[in-house]
Amino acid sequence: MNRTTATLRVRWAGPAVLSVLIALAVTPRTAIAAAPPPPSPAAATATVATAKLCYAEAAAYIDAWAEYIEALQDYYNSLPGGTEQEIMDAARRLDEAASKVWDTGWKLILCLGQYIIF
Amino acid sequence: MKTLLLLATLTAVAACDRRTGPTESGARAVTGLVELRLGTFVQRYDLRVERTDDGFAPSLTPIGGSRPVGRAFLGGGLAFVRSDAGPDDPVVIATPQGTVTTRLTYRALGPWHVLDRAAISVAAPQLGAGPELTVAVLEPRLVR
Repeated sequence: MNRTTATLRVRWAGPAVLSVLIALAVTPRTAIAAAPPPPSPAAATATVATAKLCYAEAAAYIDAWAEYIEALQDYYNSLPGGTEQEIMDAARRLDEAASKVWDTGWKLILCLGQYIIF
Repeated sequence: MKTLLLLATLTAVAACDRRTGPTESGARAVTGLVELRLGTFVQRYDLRVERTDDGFAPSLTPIGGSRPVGRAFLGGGLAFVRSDAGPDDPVVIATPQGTVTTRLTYRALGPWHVLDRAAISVAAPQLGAGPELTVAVLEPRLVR
């Protein structure tokens, strides 16, 4: 029984060791030493998939931001000679525009968070 | 037999050491102040982030007249506290109207990293320069 086991060990170990040695000899040194690291999944996601998936959120943010800039300009324009009502209306529109920027900004961060934050 | 006993003892000590090791430091929450800023518009919230089995659970309580933040925005959105330092590079999304750049920076606080600043900026030539939307965590503190 012992002899059989010992024989088997020799039979299997020989080819196994030999195949490893051959594989090491055949593999170029540069392939082992200078193999480029696999791309980080997080980085790849951030640069490609996230940009595609959060495109709508980014576009909505820019739209809201553009409305905010316009409302801000209207507010500044109303200050010098506007009536109290005009100034209050401009301020209300500016407040609403700022709220929209916050909402769309949160949504953009929420979208990005699915891919790169966690 | 003595060797087995010694190994068992060492294993038990190592397990206890991991449980109360320096990575946790007994911290169970982070508190601070969250400030949303867009130009002259500012909204502030009290922040509390609890450590849970699944990660971190944030809650924001409006200060003054600040608008409440929906739970959906907290559930899977902005990570106020995380275990690692987070991504270094900004996320840049180009659209026909312009380019949106989102940059998040974290700072170490005890065993964790707390959001320092999240900024969304827009580059749109036809719109000109405008303010960034920023979310900043001020005065973060560990709760043990």
